[in-house]
Amino acid sequence: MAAEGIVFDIQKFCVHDGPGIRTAVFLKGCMMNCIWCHNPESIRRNPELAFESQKCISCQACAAACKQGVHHFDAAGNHEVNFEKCAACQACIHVCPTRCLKIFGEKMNAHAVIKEVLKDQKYFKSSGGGVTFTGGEPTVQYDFLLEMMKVAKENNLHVCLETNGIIFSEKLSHLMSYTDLFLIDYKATGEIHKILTGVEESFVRQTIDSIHKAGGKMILRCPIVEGLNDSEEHFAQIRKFKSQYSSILNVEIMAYHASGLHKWESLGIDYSLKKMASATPEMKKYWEAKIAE
Amino acid sequence: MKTKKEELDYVLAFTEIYQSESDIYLREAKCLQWQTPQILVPLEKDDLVAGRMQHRFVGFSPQYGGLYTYFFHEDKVEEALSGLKGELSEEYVTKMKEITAFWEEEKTLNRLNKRFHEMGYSIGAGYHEPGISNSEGRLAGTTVDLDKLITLGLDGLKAEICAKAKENQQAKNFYQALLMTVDTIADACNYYEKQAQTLYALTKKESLFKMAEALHSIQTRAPQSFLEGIQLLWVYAMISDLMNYGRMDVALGDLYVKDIDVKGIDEESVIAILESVYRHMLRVHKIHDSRVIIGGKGRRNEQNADRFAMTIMETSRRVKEVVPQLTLRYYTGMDEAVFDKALAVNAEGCTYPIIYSDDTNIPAVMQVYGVSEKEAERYLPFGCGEYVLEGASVGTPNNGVNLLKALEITLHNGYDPYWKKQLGLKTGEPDSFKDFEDLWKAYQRQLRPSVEKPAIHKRLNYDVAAEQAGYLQISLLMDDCISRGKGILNGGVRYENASSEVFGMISAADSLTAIKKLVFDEKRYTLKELVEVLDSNFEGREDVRQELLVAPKYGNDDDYADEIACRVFKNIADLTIEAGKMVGLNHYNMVSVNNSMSAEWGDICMASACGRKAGAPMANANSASIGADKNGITALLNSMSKFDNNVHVGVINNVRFTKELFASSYEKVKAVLRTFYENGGVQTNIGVVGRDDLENAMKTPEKYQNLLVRIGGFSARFVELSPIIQNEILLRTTYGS
Repeated sequence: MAAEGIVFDIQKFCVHDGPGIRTAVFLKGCMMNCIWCHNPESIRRNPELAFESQKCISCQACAAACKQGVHHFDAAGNHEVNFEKCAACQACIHVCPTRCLKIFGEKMNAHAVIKEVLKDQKYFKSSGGGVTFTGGEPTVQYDFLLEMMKVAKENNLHVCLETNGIIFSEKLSHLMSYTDLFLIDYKATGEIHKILTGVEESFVRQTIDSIHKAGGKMILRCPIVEGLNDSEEHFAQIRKFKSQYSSILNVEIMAYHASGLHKWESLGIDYSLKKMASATPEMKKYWEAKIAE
Repeated sequence: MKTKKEELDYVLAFTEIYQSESDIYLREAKCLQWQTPQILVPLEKDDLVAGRMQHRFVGFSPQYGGLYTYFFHEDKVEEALSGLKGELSEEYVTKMKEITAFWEEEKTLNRLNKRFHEMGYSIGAGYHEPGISNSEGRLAGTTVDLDKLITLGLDGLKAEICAKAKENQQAKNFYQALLMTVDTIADACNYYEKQAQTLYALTKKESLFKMAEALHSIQTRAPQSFLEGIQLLWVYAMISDLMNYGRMDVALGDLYVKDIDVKGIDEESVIAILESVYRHMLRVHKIHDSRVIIGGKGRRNEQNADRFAMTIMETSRRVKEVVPQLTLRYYTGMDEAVFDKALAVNAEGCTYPIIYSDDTNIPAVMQVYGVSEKEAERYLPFGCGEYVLEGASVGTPNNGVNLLKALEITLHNGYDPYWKKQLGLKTGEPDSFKDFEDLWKAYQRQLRPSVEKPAIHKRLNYDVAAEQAGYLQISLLMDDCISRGKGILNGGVRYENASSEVFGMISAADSLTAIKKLVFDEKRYTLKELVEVLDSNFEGREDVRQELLVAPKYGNDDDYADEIACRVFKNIADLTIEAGKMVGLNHYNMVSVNNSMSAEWGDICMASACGRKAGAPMANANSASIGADKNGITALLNSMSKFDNNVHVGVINNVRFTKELFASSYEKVKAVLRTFYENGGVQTNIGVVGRDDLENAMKTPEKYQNLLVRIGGFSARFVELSPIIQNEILLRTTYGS
């Protein structure tokens, strides 16, 4: 059992990630590659460097501090970052006067994570909240996740697991015993699922079915991006899930938001939805009506 | 407007009365008798409740800001004399000069300062002066038993005074003076009764007829209706400079319910009357005072009081003004509808009601004041948030202590690098501190004399006032004055307490935290190096500033930072308590509130190790350093709950939510606040703003006239604030979803 794992954020007072007031634990690593991902810093498993070019003043202190040769400056002072070479040692972070460099991901112990979560236990109690494990895809760090869940349960925490549904059945059955509520992402219907996420839809369907059969409870979370996965077929399938599975307590539409754009840039990854605007509130309402039909 | 000559004649007459009587009680009663009708400002036809006043060039004031007991404005007299040059007889001018010389000696503030200097001390009177602490002369914030005024009425009070006078012949002057004071209140009612009658004759407005009737009735018997009750309360409060109005829901709740249930008076007419009183409060414009308290434990008429509290909150919701500082006391088991209404009013951006937790504060007040639960239930925050016990204690705050300045001076071996003067003890050069504890000891040594000096000043502040006055208007409604036959400061008040306002607490704490972490734990810099960087205002060393900024900060539920914050808090609290004992006050305690001094005193502080630049505002009261709370609202509230509540008499916790969060996750916001109040949270100033409102208001102020913000100890229209304070507010964290 891995008592340690890579966490890239612990957020307090989350009001949209399960019932009540919750603390969300974000684990690094994801096997999907959703083209709209708004947490691209969560995709890779290991800690990684991020660089916000607009904050850089070309002082070159980072280049002097870095032993791996990650930072280069051309004659005009343009800062080029070779992300591949970075060992996430943080040497550059300490000398940067503008905080344009940052490391995503920190090794943490399961007990330390839950200790941090428990600081808000009184708020969980008064609101019916608890902890939500999310990511990335938290099950990528399965052993670490399971360990945290056990400790959470020993402390009587309500546990939500947000997952993209790519879970082997054996692991799922273990996770079931510590999970009060699954937040399952259902991202597209049919062939397009693989194009948009890199993974077959059937895995997700299987997980939904398994959770249902094993008596688990779910909230279905559906990211919708205009022109990509807002098909009639997809909405019809969501409606079908709702009527088919009594274990689905609710379906939430997660309308596309462009807030992830700058993160892609800072990580040095090309983002295919550069020009996509956030969905309007009206659009979100329209989609919500679609699944309520 | 009075003419200059009228003003001078007034000065002459007031002075003659003052000089003709040597007994302090009778003298004060006579002065009030003369002063009161002359400071009243005529009724206006749209008033639903009567009562305005304007102090003159000379006079007596129990607690108007800046007017300490007997005051005399020599500058105004001088100006009037030169304006009337040639028009006055030589004899008259000579007389006025004599009077000026007389008050130069006699006015209370001068007597206080003289005494203090004779003892070998000096202290800054204003805030923008060198030093770690300052003091001014005043009595402030005493909250009397207004419920008694309404329940007994003026005749009832007179009967009680007469009964006691028979038992205690020795205090006959005091009782006679009190009776004169009651008559003076009745005379003020009579003044407005006549005006209401005259205006009614002219306008035939029914409200004026009713007002005249009410004013007539309350000159003798106890109020029988809501209008009579609030009219008596207001006339008394207004002529007494009572800037804080206590538990109005208790005092007027029964009359309100009787009017609504029995007399069939509608809610709207009550709101209209309250709005009229709100307009008076706004005209008085004591934005750092004007507390109206509703809710809480220990109310004799809880149900009626709650019903009236709902109406008061509705009035605040509609009026959306900076005063009154409506304050709700929360307790487990209170009427849910009252709590919901309080949050609904806050959700509209009113900044009111400010919510205090009885669950936290009653046990704490029992400890800090050493009183019974029953007495502790009478705690009331006044002004920017200092406690007094209603009808049972004074608690004047008239000094400030700047903790960040204390640390700055410690880091410079007693030298103030801003004023370029040796202002403190020589407690050691930075490189002489071998560990954090050494630095801490030096900081403590530096601070102590700056806490003791204001305590001595505070003692004198009460003593000098007591030599001159019985504070009759206040003594009339304080618990033990009538039975003891003494004025509040002459041994009449049950608890002679005082408070000391502390600023820069969190900036000092976060600075000490960063020093501990980077200098002593990690040895990244020597203290000497760090101080040099601070003195240069981070010139060329932005990297150091960034390191300081990411060091642990209070407000994130991070024990490393919070433990030091608690230590700074406990230390200044204990020093204050010790200083109070030293000078013989019942209780002298610190408050961590704010009256915009965190910004103004920040102006005279160099860059600090919390990452704050020179001249920038300090953190406000018990709120986090600006923008340093990054771990969510629950983490901030957890940090705020860690302080020892048994050693202070008031703290301020600013929390700001987005409108979106309040609307979309109301139940969760409510759960967060409730949990805070029930788990050691003292109070919250809740700000609710739209995401872009503040920025837009700076660009187009004309469109945001109604945007209210909480500064810490008071509320203000955002567009009327100085750019420094606007920026400070803009940069504070707003919690959304």
